[in-house]
Amino acid sequence: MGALEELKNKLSEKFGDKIKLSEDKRGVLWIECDVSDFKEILAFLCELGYSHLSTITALDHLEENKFALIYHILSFENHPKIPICLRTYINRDSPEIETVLDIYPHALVYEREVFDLMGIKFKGHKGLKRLLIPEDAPEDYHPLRKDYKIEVGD
Amino acid sequence: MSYRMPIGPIHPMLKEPINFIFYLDGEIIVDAEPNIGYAHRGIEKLAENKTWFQNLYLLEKICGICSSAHQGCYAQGAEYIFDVEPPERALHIRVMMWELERIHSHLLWLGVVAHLLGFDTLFMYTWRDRERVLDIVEEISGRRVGYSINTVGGTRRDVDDNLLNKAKKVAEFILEQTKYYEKVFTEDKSLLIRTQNIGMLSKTDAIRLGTVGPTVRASDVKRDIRYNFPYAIYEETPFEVVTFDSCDVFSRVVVRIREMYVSAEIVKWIAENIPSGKVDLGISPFKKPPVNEAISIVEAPRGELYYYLKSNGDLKPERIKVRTPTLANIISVIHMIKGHYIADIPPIVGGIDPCMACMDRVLLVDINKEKKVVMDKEELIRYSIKWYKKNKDIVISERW
Repeated sequence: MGALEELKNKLSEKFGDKIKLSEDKRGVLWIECDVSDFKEILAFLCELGYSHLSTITALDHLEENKFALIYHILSFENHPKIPICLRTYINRDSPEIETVLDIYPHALVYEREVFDLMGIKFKGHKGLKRLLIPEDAPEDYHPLRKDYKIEVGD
Repeated sequence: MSYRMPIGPIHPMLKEPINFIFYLDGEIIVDAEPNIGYAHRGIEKLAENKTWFQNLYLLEKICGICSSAHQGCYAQGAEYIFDVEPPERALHIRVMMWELERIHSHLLWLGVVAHLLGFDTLFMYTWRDRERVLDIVEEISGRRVGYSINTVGGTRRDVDDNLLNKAKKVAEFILEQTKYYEKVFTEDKSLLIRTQNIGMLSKTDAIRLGTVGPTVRASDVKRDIRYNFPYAIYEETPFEVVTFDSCDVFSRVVVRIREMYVSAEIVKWIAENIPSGKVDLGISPFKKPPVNEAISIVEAPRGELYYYLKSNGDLKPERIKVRTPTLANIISVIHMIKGHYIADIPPIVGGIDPCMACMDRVLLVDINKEKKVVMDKEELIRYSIKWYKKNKDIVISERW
């Protein structure tokens, strides 16, 4: 667990109270931070060798009126065996967040996917359009949101 | 003369048939744009409405070829959620299925590539050998595809010594046959012309574009989830990560062929070293998991497969997120294909091992003349083979 402690120290040294660190039993590092800081942290982690963004998960917290976004990043070279998941929250009424395309160019499809299914807009993402659902679907049609119920046919 | 050429909807991806729009300058591809979503089935939403155990059989249907990778990855994640450790013997069976699946998936891909390049005899050879793998898979699990062998907390079936011996024999057979395929693919002149220096993806680009699986390893990047983030029994399994440094379609062929050796060796190793014991913890399908969340990553035949699972303590999951490897690789296809001829589309798009490169139909539109030419898959392949025959001298002089 030496590498994990080292990484945690580096992060808390740099960001202090801005981040909440926790780890699970399988050695995954979970970082929670404010939406204003998340890009700075991602850029720092990218410099550390976390150059691979696996995907972006969006979660709908309907009762608390917010969305959670989780950035799943991996490092294959410098910190083996420690996947990182960075979580940040945004308001559900005006779901907008900065794009990470300048740090991870391959976030292109993942941001489009989140926009399509959850309706979260990414500021600075040119050509943000639907990925999976046909483009002529209604504008507020985002089926992964919790207030969208599946209609069961006969 | 500039053209805009849509291809598809075809299905080079796991869930989705795909539509490419190619922008051409004469024969040269200037830019490409993929449109996906033609087979979007809403599985992530559907999974939120089924129980943890029902989802085992839903999620394996994401892909027909790497169904065990999907189901195993989900089962592994669900075990993290339920906080249980499956028995060692079950993990060995699970890994054996994963590796057999990798072998038959790579054999399938080799056949498809041979077919795309107009080498149908080789296609029949590889698919004949693939049958041997499917037969043993059927004997172990009961089904040729969609094996349903995994469950939360182990596997649903045990294997006996007779089956293990059979699996070992199949692995030895595959080792022998793979030697032949390696010889053909690396020595046959016409295959080399169609694969070498095509679809270049440099090491830095591969990392920058987040490429995964054999495609990234063919760009000489040592990225393998089995090696970098060991799961199940891969920490104690002896195997090496295959990389190759020519960064083209040929490199992808070599990496996949050599991975078949590695997988066959792992199957042999498991058949000899499988521990005894039970294979299932017998968790009730009606057991409610604790409030928890987990990620589960495995190396599917096509690359890194990423699952995120969240439970709110209910019988049904709160959220399941699936990131399939082809979605990660589709960006790099656009990068690879620029500057190549139309005739190179099949090997390059096929080169990332999209799930069944079925090009349904191609529409060639001449912007200036408003002329439309509709080609189906067979025609496109015939066209590409004919074009290469006619322009063989140009290509050879350009590439050597």
